[in-house]
Amino acid sequence: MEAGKAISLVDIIIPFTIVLFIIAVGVVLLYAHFQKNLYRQELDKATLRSAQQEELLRNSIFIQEEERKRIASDLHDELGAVISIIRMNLVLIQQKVKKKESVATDVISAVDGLISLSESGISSVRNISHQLMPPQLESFGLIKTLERFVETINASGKLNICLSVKNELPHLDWPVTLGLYRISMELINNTLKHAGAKKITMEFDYDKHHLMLYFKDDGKGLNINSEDKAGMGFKNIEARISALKGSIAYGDNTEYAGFKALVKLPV
Amino acid sequence: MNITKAILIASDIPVLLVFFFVIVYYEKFERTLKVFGWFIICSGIVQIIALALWLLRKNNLPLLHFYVPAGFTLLAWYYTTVLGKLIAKRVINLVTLLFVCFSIVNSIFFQGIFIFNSNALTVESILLIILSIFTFIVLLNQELYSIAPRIKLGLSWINSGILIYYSSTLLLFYFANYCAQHYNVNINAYDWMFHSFASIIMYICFYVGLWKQVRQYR
Repeated sequence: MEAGKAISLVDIIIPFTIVLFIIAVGVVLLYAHFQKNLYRQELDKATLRSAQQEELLRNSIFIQEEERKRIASDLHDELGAVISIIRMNLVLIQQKVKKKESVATDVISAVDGLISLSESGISSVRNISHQLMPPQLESFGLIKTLERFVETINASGKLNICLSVKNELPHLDWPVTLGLYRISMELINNTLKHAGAKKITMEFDYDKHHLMLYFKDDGKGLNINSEDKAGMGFKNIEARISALKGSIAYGDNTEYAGFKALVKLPV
Repeated sequence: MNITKAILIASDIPVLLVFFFVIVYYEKFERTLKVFGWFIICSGIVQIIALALWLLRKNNLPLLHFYVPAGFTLLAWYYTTVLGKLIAKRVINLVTLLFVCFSIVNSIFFQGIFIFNSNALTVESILLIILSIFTFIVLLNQELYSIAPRIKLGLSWINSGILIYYSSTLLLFYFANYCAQHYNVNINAYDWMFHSFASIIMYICFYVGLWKQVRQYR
């Protein structure tokens, strides 16, 4: 009778214990499964958010460029034209007053001054409008535009820029052309402003999938601790590269002093 | 040595392994893990003394009467620390206090220190099963970053170990005294072999949880 009791209780405890063990393991596995699903959902959401932000960034850059183009065009065509007319009238007045002997010399010199000011105004308007949107970029492309800019800088004698193209670049879409132009200008501008460099080397390369820009200067390099790194210039560069789905690696030149950057854009 | 005895002895190895792991890496632990480390240190010390007493053929059951309330208090403290605002600390503290009182009353009046304290262990198992399931629900429902991912990873493994061990051994604890009185040693050894198996799984989970969390600090 006792033995019968013992067997029956053990027969209950062990199977129930095993069942409880299986249930517990099942709960743990279910938890792991749900957790994995949650992570996947969060990952999907994050990817979507990132894609939306990239789209927003692209749109914002596009709108900014359109606005620059409009302002450049308005400046050049309207304000530039108005100043040109003013200058033309001033020249006419100058010719008339020079014919009259009774006109005081201070009036003549005032007119001369106004003509000189209007010429300076025309030149400023042209420069500003070209900086906002270089007209040759659309017509002659990135490299020709940069070459022209480099010639101007080299002619000043303060800095020597060496621009080269390793492999011939393919036809670039307008956003890529404009983006690379702005990035190049921002990098040159940073060197001019902060590096105190004597020489800049810029090399463009193309490998069927990517367009690369190697940028090097012999200035004082990038101070990681300074605010220059995270300044507006670099933020702009990073935003443009992100909008073009490219990448940038930059840092101090390990071989010799200076700064170097490698910009890689998918084409 | 038969397989039953081998498993019973082997169940001590993971406890000691985790114990030494905690001793070695204790300085690297963050606050939440240090609390769990104290539970492991407490378990390790109790296990070493119990093993020594067992080898000396002396009754080691009084240790269990100390270990059950102490272990539960440390585990409840770990849960309140790691879950932070996601758990009602006052409720957990009250439950811990009531359980410690119940355990002491049980050891004094119902199951003396030389008797297996199955009542306290059964109640402890039920409370920890509830706490571990609650933790899983909280982990699934919480906002993604309310618990740091590195803590969450360790917590998931530790919680899994606790749920598997205490739910698997609930019936064994409840019927332990009855089985000891009515059945022969072989049947009891068979029961405790299963307990050892669950214990090995729990400590392996603890080891993985601790190791994964420590690895992220490097």
